[in-house]
Amino acid sequence: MLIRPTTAFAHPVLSPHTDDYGDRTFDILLEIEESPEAGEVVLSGHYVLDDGDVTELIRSRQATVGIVVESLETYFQTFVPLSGTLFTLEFKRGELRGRVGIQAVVAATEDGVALRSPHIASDYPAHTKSLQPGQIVAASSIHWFEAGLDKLLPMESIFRLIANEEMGDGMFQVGLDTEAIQIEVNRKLYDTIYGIRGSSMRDILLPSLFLPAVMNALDAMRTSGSEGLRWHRVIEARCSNEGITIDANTDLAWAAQRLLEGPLGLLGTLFKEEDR
Amino acid sequence: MSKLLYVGQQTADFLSDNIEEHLDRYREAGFEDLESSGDWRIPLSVEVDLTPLEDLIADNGRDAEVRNSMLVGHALASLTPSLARENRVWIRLSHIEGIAYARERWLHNVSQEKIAQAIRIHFFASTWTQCRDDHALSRLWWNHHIASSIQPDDPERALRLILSTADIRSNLIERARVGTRLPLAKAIVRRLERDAQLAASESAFRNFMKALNIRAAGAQLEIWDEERMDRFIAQCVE
Repeated sequence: MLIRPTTAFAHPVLSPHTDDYGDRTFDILLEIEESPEAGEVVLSGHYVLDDGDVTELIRSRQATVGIVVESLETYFQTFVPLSGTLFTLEFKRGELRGRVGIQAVVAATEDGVALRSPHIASDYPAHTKSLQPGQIVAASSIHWFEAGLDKLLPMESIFRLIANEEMGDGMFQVGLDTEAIQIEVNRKLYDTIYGIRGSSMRDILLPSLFLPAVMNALDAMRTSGSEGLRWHRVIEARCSNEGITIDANTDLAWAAQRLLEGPLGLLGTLFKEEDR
Repeated sequence: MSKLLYVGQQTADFLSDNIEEHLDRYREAGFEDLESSGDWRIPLSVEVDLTPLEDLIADNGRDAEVRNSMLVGHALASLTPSLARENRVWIRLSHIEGIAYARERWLHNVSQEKIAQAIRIHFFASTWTQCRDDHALSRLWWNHHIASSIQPDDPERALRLILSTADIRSNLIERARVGTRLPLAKAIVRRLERDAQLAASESAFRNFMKALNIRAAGAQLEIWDEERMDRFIAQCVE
């Protein structure tokens, strides 16, 4: 299982989320290769550990080091013990999809494993430094990535333009109750936008139309109710891939610009083309 | 055997956005006429034999759920977990090949006010929890997949235990952080097999899971051997 930053321990644990080992570090350097169409993922890399006592526990087999991979959306979790610092883990049977967590963990393998590192904080009493099999010695940070095709879907695929005669001139309304985000405009504007979509000016729609619509969608995602809708799943996958968390503190304008890859930057290109 | 088909995004959106307009089709008429045109037949590179779906029993008892899970598990044995999260596969199956079962099992005797909601829950697999717990057919596939992971040599036996009460399914399958820890899930099922009292008593099982959640949190139990794991489970039962 993944050791989350909120997990509390009665014994010292070497982790970026505790100060138990002072400035000592334990982490993984990770490369991810994915063929989303085939459902294949290869994780490779190595772990970095600079505490001599923990290294010795691993060498003497009083502790084991391994990689935990968790993909709850495919009901998959594994702990792969390592025999060296390098690792290559292949997942070729569609085991991973959605938000995947990867973490290196060191766990005691014997009764009474003694933690003797001189870096352990002095306020830990002696009796807390003796571990039983399975107890955590060290845990790296959790590295997250989004597996699968959802993150690759074009943002445009989650919008649907609707003609609605009740809309005023130049106005649009965003509807979030359907599978695609509905953008309602009157017939005249509908025809204009439709024409722009098929021309070299189409990029102007990103900052002028899609940017505020994505902000509306992100705002709706702060509360529950839209999880089952396709636009929610696609934006959620993209946010997960970009490391964007949607909550009350999210800067929606900033998040939407990141999801649309800085859409205002396209204006410069458009005007250059117009000048020519 | 034939290639497994799924519906295109346009069709998936069309069906999901127009449930109310299609109530008669869900109740009786079906979607065969619509299926013959549009993007209803996109083939996956997965070979399946869907004839077992004709034998699904529209009953909500445990025996039917076990049998149905085995049937769907066998029919779609070559589906990977990643593909089994793709709701457009399940939309196709619940609207075409499996509609008779889905209709009879989940829409029979449902009031007019509640039928659209029942359709949304059991025919679309839009979220992970709907896919795992609610969709008429994907729920059965995931039951079988999880049981096969726990007891690869006899998934039916594991299914009988996991599905013996709603409480056991909910604690083992719906709380994925326990159920996905395979050595732990295997040990729980081993214990349930020989401890009828634990399997039958809702309160005993809940207390057991409470103890297990407290004791197993923050430990890498995956490094234990079977004997130590069984000892740990016994302590949680006490």
